Amino acid sequence: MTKLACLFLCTGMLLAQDRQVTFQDLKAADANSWLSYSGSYGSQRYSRLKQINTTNAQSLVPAWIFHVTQEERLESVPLVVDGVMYFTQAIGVVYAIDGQSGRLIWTYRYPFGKPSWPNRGAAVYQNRVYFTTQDAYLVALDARTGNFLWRSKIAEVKDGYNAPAAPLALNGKIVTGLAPGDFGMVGMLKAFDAATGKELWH
Amino acid sequence: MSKRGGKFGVSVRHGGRAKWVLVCLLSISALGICQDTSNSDKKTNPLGSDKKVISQGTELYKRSCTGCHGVNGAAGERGPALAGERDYVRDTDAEIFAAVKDGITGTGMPPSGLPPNDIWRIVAYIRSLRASASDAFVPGDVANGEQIFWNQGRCGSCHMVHGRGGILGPDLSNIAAERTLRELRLALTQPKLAIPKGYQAADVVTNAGRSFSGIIKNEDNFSVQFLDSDQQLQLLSRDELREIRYKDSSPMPAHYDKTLSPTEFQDLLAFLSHLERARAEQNKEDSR
Repeated sequence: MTKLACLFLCTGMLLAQDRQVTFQDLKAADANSWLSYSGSYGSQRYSRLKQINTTNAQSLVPAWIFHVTQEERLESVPLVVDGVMYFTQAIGVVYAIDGQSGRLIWTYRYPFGKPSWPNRGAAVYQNRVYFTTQDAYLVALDARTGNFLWRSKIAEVKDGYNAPAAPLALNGKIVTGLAPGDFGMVGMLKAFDAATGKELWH
Repeated sequence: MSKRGGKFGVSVRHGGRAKWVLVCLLSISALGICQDTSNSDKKTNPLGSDKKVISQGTELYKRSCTGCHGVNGAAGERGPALAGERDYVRDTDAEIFAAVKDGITGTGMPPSGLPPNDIWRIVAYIRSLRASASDAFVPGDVANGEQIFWNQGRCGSCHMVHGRGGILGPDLSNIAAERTLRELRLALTQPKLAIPKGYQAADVVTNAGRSFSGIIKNEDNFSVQFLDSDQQLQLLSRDELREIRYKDSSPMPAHYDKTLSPTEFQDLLAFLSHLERARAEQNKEDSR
């Protein structure tokens, strides 16, 4: 029993030491987390968790409520990594909250531009959180503190582009596209180095 | 007019003078109004920030703002401390103007109803409360200060600047815009009296016997959001904690004025007073 407890403790410590999101994690798409916009590279957008089902859904009650101010269109898909929930707000704000308690861990406010369009959410890879902005930049933040790390221009905002999409994290790369394709703009897909923000291809 | 003057019991001659005075007064006030309205869409304060404007702003502030924001913008019952809160230091002149003119939707901040030039006087006063280190003249060798920051000062092991450095202390990329020179000097020389929210140092021990040392990002009666010294987030519930020990002092070392030479200290101060996001962006643009 002691051995078992010890083993459990050791595993716990190992898990605690390696909280970085790897490409393997993104591929495995563990049901206890939600590591990308669509939940997995298969894009099923379907949680494999079993606790909530059609028989008990009607008895759900709020466990906590986190108020987001100044938002008319909260269209962000929250990501969940080791109990930390990350989501974005159209005005260029990113939140990290404790998924268990709904308490704020950090918030980041993008200081450039005055966004008006919705934002679809973030991507996580290693120790970083990525999101895109109204002035068509890809931004990387430190996942633990929300510290601004770098931003890379995806396209020229003067040409009419903006970037509302949740970026996609791959093996060492962050891939994202542009808006507004529905207004006849020529679209583009770009990949950036996940660590440095250097553009790799488009 | 003479007839009308007569009607009001004013003689023709006096009526003429009264008319002139009236016309003069009207045109002066009309001029004032015109000037006022044209000043409502300026990006920076059209009245400038000299002593006279600031003292006028002080009077207006006392009359209209102290009730909520407190004396000298220190802190109020209902409004944030305009002289202290970091979030508000970021605002441009035009943003402060808009907030005073139109109020802030979703908060208790009402539209002021003041004429534009009075609002600009208040803007000048609020600005004067916050004149930042980046606006001050700080002699010293910035490049050498940067070396000290990353090397013997060991500032970079806890603080981040433009994406490089540690995460246990606040990010300093925009610190010169957020702090006055006096505050920067105090931060380097005096033990911290007030620890900023999200940086309280503590040791915690869980019921399972795991112990962490680090900083509390957030907490309430039920949970603690903790960043440990291995730079990992620990999301803890109070009932799984055996002990939590709050540290009295900040992990930030004091007395840099004694551990560094006077020249080195001045250079470090010059480097810190140079850390401003807007300036960093401009340098980036220029080097493209």
